[in-house]
Amino acid sequence: MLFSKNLTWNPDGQHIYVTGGSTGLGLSLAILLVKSGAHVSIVARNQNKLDDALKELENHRQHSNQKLAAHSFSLDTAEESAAALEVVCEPHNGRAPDAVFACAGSSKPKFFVEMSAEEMQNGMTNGYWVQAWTAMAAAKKMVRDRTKGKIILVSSTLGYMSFVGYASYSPAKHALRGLADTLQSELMLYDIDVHIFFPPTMYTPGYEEETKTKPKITRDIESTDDGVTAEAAAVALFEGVRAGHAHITADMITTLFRASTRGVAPRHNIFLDPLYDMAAYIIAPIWKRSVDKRVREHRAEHREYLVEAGFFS
Amino acid sequence: MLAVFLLSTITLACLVSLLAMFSSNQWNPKGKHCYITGGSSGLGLSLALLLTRQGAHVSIVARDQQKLRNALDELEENSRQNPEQKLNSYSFSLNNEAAAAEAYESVCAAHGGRSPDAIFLCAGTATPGFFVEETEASQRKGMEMAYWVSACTALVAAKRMVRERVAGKIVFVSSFCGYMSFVGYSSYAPGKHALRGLAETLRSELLLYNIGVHIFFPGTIYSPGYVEENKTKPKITLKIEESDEGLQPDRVAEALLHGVQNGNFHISGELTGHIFRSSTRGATPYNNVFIDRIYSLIGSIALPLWRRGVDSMVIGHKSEHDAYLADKGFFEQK
Repeated sequence: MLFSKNLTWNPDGQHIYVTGGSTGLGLSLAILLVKSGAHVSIVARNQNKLDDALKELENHRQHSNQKLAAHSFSLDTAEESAAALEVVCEPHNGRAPDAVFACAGSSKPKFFVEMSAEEMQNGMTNGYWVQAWTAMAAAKKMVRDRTKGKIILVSSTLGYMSFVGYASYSPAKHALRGLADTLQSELMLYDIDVHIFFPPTMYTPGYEEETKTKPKITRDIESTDDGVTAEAAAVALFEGVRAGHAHITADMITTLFRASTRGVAPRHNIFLDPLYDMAAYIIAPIWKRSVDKRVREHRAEHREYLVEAGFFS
Repeated sequence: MLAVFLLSTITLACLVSLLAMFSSNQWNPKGKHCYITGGSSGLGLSLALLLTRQGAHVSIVARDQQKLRNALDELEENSRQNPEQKLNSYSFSLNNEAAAAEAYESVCAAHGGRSPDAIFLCAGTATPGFFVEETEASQRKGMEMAYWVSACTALVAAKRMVRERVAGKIVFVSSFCGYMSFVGYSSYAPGKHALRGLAETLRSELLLYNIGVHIFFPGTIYSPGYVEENKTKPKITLKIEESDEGLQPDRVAEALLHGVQNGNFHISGELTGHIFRSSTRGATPYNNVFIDRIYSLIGSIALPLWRRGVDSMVIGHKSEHDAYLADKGFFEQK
């Protein structure tokens, strides 16, 4: 952004709140923040994982006065998310954090026609609400405290496009973009910055979970994708926030999507973005055509699969 | 660089035009059973009238009985083409799977229990407001009225169409707020973006069953829904939208049908829509590889300028907004 005021955001001495901070991207990011001298609070559900995570954060402590804390909360409802935020703020005179990274979330890929309504709902809860409630609580608190803070959401490459298997996940990840783009505009009313991250496949415990239900055709389509480690993703996210980018990516493919699906979102670079866009203009349809071909070829096998699963009985 | 770019664009355009000459026929609604949610007013009603005039069997679902009766009367009086056409209306809510399934069942009953050939998901409303004034209830309601009301029917329909081996169509209706967003739409834009995510997934996935998927992105429609929406819309949002020209529901319905008949996956109704669509395309198929590129180029200049204008309006609104919140006692609450 040419006219960004925070060209190099520095978290040293700031209070940063990270949800989903006990594993994967959230934990890697928390470690980076601790190394930069920030006070870091992490929230997740599982107490054991939180305990382990806190020990790891302690290993990277820079000063004795850094406040590092871990709390167990569900973030599925507005009430729980607001309660978590209050507890997180207590050791800081009840004041709003300087930045909130909403890294919580999970995915359960599956065929649409095999999904129950509940699975669709859970997809939205675990992909969207779990971050939106935190954003809502944080925005209200920052406005009341007049804190010129930052709110960062974590979407996915599947927030820029989608394909077979992600009917409960991609809508949530797209919804996050809708929220981020609204807030990017709206929270200018309060000098609060909003960023959103679109990571590709990250090799994390969350990824392991996901592969349990993932349809074979989905795995085949993804087989050529290079994923990234949680550490690499965290670095990309951190640097993107420091550089003041509204939309942040960690790999070239997603960057091409960002540039070609940017619409009204701010540009990174007035010269590079159009080049990415032109590349995507050629590459994206070729990629899409090959994915469609694979899906069509999968029809017969898929029919058999449904018959065996008792779908037609 | 420019020469290479132009040459490659022109070559691509020629290739695609050649392919288009051998492509499938236009979809024709005549004799087909079309199910329209939100079919008693606004875009849904206009679409119902249009499809009836083209000889389709039409079933409309909405909540209000009186509006449904009036709508059905209009279909009968102004649009029926021949006595064989089945025109029906049913009162149902559609905001969860059970309700959507019940409605679907009734709609199919008049056609021997068979799934419709095309489903147009026009039901939905928007309630704009400031994010910091939203509650869990208003946020969930926003998602329900922008997303779930369509997603639930899509889930029911896909399963039924697959079981019955009906190679039907599912048509979603999103909005410009599914392509971008700004102040005031935090309860609406997420749901409209979510529809895009669902449509993109299903366009790919339902190739497994020959079921077609489309998604429409209209701008402002001068409908009863629009009047409702403006009751809660923040002043700053109204100000940003001041220069937008909306369209009458009939015009919008024509654009939607036209897009479905042309086999376009993403459908936009007018120039602004085309520009947004082309600038936010990602991996979505082109409607026209040459013209889309031009829209995209226009967008790459026009959109950042428009955006900068919107940002300055918001920043200029800061102190008025601060006073507004203070008046409402916002800063005293916890």
